[in-house]
Amino acid sequence: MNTKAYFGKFGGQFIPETAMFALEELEEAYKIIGQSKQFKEELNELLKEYVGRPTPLYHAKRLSEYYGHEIYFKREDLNHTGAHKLNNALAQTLLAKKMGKKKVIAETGAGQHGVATATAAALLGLECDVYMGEVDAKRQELNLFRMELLGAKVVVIKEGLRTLKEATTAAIQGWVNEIESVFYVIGSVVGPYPYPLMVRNFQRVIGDEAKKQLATKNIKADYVIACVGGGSNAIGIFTAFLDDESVELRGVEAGGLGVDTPYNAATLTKGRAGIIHGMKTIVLQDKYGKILPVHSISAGLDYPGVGPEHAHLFDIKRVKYEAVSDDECIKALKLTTKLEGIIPAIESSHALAYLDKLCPKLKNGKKNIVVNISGRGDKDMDSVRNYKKGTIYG
Amino acid sequence: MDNIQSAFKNKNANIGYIVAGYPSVEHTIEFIDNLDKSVIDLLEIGIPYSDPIADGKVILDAGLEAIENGVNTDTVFEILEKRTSKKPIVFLVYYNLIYAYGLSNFIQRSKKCGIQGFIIPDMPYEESEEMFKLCKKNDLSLIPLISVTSEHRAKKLLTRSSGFIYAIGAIGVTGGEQTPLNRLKHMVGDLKKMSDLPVAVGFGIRTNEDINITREYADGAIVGTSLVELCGKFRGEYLLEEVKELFN
Repeated sequence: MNTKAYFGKFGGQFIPETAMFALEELEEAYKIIGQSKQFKEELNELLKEYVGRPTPLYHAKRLSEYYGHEIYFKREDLNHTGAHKLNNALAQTLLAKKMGKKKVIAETGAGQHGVATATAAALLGLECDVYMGEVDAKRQELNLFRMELLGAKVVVIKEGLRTLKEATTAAIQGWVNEIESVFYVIGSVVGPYPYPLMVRNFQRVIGDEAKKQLATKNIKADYVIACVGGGSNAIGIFTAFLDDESVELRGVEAGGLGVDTPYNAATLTKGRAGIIHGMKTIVLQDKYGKILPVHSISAGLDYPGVGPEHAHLFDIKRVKYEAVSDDECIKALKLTTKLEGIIPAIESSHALAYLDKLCPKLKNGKKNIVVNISGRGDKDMDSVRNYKKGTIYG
Repeated sequence: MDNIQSAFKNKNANIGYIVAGYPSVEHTIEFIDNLDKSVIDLLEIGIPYSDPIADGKVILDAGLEAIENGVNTDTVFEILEKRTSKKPIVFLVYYNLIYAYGLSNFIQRSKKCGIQGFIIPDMPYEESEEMFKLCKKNDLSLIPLISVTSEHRAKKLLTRSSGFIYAIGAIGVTGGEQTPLNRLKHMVGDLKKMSDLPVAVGFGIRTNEDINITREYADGAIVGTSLVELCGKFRGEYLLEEVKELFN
């Protein structure tokens, strides 16, 4: 067991032998190039001038009034391309370029990571293939068009449930097919080591900024909430607060039609330890290890696994994970839009929906609650417009 | 002799790969019953899996069809427990299926139904220690996969290897384009210098011509995708005849 590849019992490198040299190459490049002063300076400059960082920490006054607690939004939706995904996609693509790679590939569910990778590839002059399930390609048609406009080739996967799981499996296969020349830009804190660690480090800028911004406003966070599919925005914001046990961390999963039905993507709520997409983590699976179908209105959370660091944080009980349903998510999206004039992504709306569960239980005065608004909802307008309670999405 | 090495004794081994339960459980039972009459010296049986990251479209689709038909790990064990053929059989199985079954339980039941080794495509050396120890204790083989992209790791990989060496003939998934022959020959030559284990080449071997070329430099040729395709089209004596022609 390569212990450095694990977060507690979870992580590892469960990948074909053919691809192991690429992981060794990546680990080395991340250590030498990725930690260099020059790389960090170049990336920070891009994050500031191109992505638009730092993103604001916004006090959501009307929503605070509604819930009776102080709610703050970390506005990752204000990043260029509309989500936190660009932080990581840009960093990995820059690393790929410095490693001498000519092409990057990526998988995408909601399309935000695909758009981010296609954007970074366009900026840095690299070829780009994006794998996307057919169902997601349909429900995120606009993002597919954006990727193509940015010069990427979108490979639509028609196998299985035709969502993120199948796109990820196909992307790994595509990566192995061209293992000597392409760089796989993984979109979340998932996959074999060193990806979960590297992506976490590229996304921790969210929490580091939020912590500084809270300090500037002289506010002490009581709760930090983020949605969890693979879990990159959540790890991104949680990391800065992990050492401070007085801050309660909440990860919100996609409950789909309900966690008591088979139609959800609530991995940590309903899954158990297993291996998927190169990592040991918690997985939705049957007794034989067959990966189960997942269902969520959110294409970005529609995934049967979760990043291994989340599995570890769940295991040691540092973060509490709960699920909200499609219906609760849509209600929260509408409420936030009406009260704050901000249309959050369906993914982020899961984190917002958790306020409904949390706030009524909070005693002993007003609490400061930070919600990570991981992306904006423009891409989801069709899904919201056509939403019908009880419909199986994905 | 019914162990893995017997397949390579005095000759170049014909190694086949099938997906258990494809196109049906009955087909698989029939194929295994006929094994002693076939030209196949060693059979790899794939346990169908929902997310096989090393499989090309043909094998992936066959696996999904078998799963749709209700095939699971227990079904595969039940098929094998009834077999009468003496030819060596190994499992090609993704690690999550073993993990879900429990490593010890999986190994014990495999042993009981005469399985002689395991090929685990998503379990590289770094994750293989526990499986290696259990295999060793139970006198079963852990067959290493070695690719031209991982040749520099061969020495390390061979410390936990037995049965034979599975040299990966294509960079990519099963059924893909074969690696340039010079590079492949070079790798197989190096592996033979490093180990006494027979070296068989799989991935990218589809035709009789491919098999004959492989025989010139390796100890065995492994055919997966083409054999799975044949299993989908033929059965009984007709299938045996097709397999014979393929390996002839």
